Amino acid sequence: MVQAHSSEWLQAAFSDPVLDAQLSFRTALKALAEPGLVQTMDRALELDSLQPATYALCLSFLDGDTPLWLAPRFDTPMIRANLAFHCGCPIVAEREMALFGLLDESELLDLSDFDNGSERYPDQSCTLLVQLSSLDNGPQLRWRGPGIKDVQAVELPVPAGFWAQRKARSNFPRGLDVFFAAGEHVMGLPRSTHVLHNNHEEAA
Amino acid sequence: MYVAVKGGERAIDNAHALLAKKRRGATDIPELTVDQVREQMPFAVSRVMSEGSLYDPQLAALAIKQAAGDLMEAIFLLRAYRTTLPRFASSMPIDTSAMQLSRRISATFKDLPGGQLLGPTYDYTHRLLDFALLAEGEQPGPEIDPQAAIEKCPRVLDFLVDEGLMSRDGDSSAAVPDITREPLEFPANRAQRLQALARGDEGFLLALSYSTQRGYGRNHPFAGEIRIGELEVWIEPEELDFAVPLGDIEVTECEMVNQFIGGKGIEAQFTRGYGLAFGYAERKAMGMALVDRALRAEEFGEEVQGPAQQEEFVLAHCDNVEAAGFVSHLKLPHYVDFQSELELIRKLRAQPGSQQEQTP
Amino acid sequence: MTSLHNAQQQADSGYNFAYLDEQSKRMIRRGLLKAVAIPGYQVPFAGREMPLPYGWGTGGMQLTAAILGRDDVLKVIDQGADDTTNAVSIRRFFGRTAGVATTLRTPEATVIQTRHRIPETPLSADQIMVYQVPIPEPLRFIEPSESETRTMHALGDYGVMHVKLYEDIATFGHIATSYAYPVTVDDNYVMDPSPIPKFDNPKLHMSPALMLFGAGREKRLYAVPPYTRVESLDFEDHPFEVQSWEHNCAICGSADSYLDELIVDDAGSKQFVCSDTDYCLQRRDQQLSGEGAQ
Repeated sequence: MVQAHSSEWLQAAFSDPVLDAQLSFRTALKALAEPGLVQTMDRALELDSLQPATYALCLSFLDGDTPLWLAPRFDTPMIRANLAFHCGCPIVAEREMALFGLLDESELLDLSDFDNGSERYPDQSCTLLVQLSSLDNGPQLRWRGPGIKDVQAVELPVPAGFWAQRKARSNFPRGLDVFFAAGEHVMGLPRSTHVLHNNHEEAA
Repeated sequence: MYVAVKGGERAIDNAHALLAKKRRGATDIPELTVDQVREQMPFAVSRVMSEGSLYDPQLAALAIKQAAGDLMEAIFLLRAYRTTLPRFASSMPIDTSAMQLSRRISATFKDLPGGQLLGPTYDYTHRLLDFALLAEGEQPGPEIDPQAAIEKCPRVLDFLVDEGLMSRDGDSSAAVPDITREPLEFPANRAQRLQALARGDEGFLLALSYSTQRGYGRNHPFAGEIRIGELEVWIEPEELDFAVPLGDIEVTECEMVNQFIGGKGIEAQFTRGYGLAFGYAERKAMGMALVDRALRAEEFGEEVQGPAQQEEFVLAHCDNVEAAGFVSHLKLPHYVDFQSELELIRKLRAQPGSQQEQTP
Repeated sequence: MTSLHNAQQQADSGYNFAYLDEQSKRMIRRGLLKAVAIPGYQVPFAGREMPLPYGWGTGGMQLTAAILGRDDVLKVIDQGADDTTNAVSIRRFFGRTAGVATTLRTPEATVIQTRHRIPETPLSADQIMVYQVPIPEPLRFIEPSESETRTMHALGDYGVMHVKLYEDIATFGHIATSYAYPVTVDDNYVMDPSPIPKFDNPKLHMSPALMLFGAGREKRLYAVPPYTRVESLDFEDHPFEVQSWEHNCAICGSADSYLDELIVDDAGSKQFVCSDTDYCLQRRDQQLSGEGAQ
């Protein structure tokens, strides 16, 4: 429910809710279908600490059917009020209940409670939306798998512990799918991508 | 030549124009009005509303007119319209015991509080064509006794429940799943099954329920109670603390009493099947109740012997919009796949040592 | 591209853009993300009724409606042809409800909805193929129960499929499946490629285009991302092979496209022509302009 006083927090969302949602979704679909490539997602403005691409992902994916887990950094009255108003998504305290998780880089070292689906219904897993300060200048890794012709070099600035967490939660077809967002850019990392560290494979 | 089916937009436009002409019939006969359909074909309207999953007699009548009396086509029209409608609220559960009854019968007790109320029914008509209807003319209608009033009609199965002979159908008060908004997964639960059956094809449910009577999953049914009448639908808007009535709808409810479960230290109890349909739709409600009961086989630890007891079989095939679509799609061109089959069958026949050559 | 944009039609304002409401689109879009993340896995979705009958492409249409945008250029084919009645009807539907530009040319299209064929013209990145699927479950005709087939996929237990194909070989000397020929996607899921002739199966392998599959009546969607390994099931002693013809196309002379067989007279005389009408027409145009230049 929107609190009576929350209207003062409300900001505009997509200027064209139908077409901006469609464009943002298509960008997200492309990002997930071509892992490791940076895509431009600029149909939303920033909202509080949510950068444009992060907010656009929220506006295109979330609604009353998608419980969202919000990292403490993003759990502000303004973000809550706008997500409630524009998306109507229930915000849940338990990670296990969430279909989407909105994370910042400080949350990447523990992904244990997010639902990674079941053998029979691997699609019923949580999708992580991770906001970073940038999508490059991290240690170079090589990605391989569906959507990548040969090998894709990626330099995401995420802690090494994230890859260990991802591996721990991956048991194909179970796994976590991730969108990384920074500024007006987004990159997809589906569970099907193999991440190679040095010449050996780390993630299944 | 079939390839001549190519030809696109003009051919399609012409086909539609011919259809409109077919529907209209001879133009020296006055055109049927939607109001006439609504008022004079109430059973057709009921069926289209039930299986179309939308209570709107006017739109159902429009669909029947537009479909030229093809009820499955009318159901499809109504469904396709329904799917575009936004949802404002979920209603509160309807209370069928508070129904303004037009009909109420029970086959399990000779007499009971409220009595048997026949209402409008074909049951005791002799199926003789009434040639008087060939001519237009007003029917006189029943004589009304202004003193008469309908007594309170408690639900028949509640008497059995009160005696402990039957378990109460619980209100789990859990959120009700919506099979039109969430994909149906198997095994389904009873709420999902009942929704699917409520939308299900009357003929299919009738045939399946008949099959249980003939031994394909027999469960010894009695028509515990059938009631038809109007009741109010209420909603409780989120922004209000109280419920408000939305309007009246006519429904048909059937509760079947079926043979026992129990034994092995558990006292025997009757079981039940439930049917509910929009409007006056007795055959549909009875078929639904029998199939609902049949689908509870697993719940009651019964051996599954008949198709009516197989959940996936029943739920995957009871929807006539789906069934009619998939059967009719065979009319679409399939010449690419058929060419594949031609190539294959010729190859098989050309093989050295094929059946053809072995048998001279 | 300017001419195409000029060709955009005015959308019917009575319905939402591309017909479906936004919530339905979001539901399908979320399903598509999971489908792409789990290549070849059938995602259940709450399919909506469309104003066309089930079995006539409602699954493909729902996916197209969920992905289509104002700048897209849509091509719709049935049996490889743009001018078959069903293709015309669906193309018209999106012209009316989304006002998008439509095309008959494979290279110009950004979204191609198809029934039963993959175009002969190689696809490119930035193109999305949308397949209409009648029965998405490749195991369905071996095991009718959805509960069972879901378990088989979960366990990667595809032995029954191999047994079925091998029984064909024992009976007929060949695998007796010529269309909707099952494939393995990225070494994991066995998938029904929709009822395309097996001739088209190799086009799925490492394609630069994204492939989306929609089954409306069965309420399933699935995907093959670009550059994904897609292998047709076979045996060492009976390797997969595609159809071939002794004839060339009677119109354009193509020797390597999928041909339709026409019966052209009462004596049953046959002619073979390309099933992909755009491919055939482009070849013919090139030949004519070549002749004209001489």
